[in-house]
Amino acid sequence: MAEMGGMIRQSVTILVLCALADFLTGGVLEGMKAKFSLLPGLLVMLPPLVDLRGNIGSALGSRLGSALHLGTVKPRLAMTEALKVNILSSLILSVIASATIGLISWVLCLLMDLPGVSLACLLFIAVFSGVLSGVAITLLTVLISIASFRGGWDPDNVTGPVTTTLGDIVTVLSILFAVMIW
Amino acid sequence: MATYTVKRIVLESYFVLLIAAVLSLLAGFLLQENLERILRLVMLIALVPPINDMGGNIGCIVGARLATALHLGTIGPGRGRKHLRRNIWGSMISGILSFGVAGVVLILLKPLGFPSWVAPVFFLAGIFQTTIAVFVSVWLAFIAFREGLDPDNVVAPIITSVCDVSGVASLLLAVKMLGI
Repeated sequence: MAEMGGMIRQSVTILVLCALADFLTGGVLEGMKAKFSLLPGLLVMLPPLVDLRGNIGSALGSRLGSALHLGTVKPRLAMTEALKVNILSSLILSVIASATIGLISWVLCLLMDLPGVSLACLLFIAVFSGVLSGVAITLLTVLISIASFRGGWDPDNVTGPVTTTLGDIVTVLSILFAVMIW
Repeated sequence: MATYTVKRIVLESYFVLLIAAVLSLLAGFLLQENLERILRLVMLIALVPPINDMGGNIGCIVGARLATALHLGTIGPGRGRKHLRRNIWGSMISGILSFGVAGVVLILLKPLGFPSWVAPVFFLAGIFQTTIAVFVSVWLAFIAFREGLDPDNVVAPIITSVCDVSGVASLLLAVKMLGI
């Protein structure tokens, strides 16, 4: 447990870096999102999909932070049982939660009489981009939490903000890729 | 703290994530449609993503640190008050300082067309947003722990959704208070 000074120094550094990344990438991401307005159903599911990625990543980071402090996960790049369970859970969640969001968005489109996008299309885009960004962010989260712990930084101060900020970028790119394939 | 199992993490997280997704869908509908009407100042809309994200990030940090302390037992029912107080104050100071630095960045961006009221509004709204993020996260962490849920799975998803709404509210309040 870091002293208050260390806690503040670490959090402020991370929060400011993430805010700067936000300012810098905000405009570009908004521009990309504008491309999605061609598919109305996609626009509906974009905010929850982007949030989902950050949420799965920061929950994983939060769990790893606890596990590293407790010593149940060792700060080494070795596939221990606890680490495997955490990674596997995040990947499973990426698939089923993304699919659920695809389904809910489709139902919402039907209810609101938005011009039709097929269920298959929404499910494909949600799950494909979910798996793609899920793998990337899960690996990054594991690396960042172990690296920060080894570097003497409290992973609890680092992983949440960094994974949500990177998650925004990676998710929008994966969705764009999924749309191009479809 | 019980050891992690895939079943427990997936089940617990799935419902929390679903709640967060529904909140996000609702916020998307309600706010997106009305955002331009609610925030009649165009520049204010540009401040919505950063204030929402910073609030969510502060909440994630508080939640992650408290979850660790609850698991380690340094904070618990009737113990670790000093530790908790230090956590809350440290987070408040960190949040407000970060909004201060972000405000300075906005001042530096002034040549890019940001009017001069943007930085003070952002900073004042940031103080409100930080307060909400810190105290709601602490509350969520304790409730989750008491109910036998892992706060690591609960706080981050919920607080980011809460901050998406409170960010807009904080901006409106700041504009009103500063009379802009």
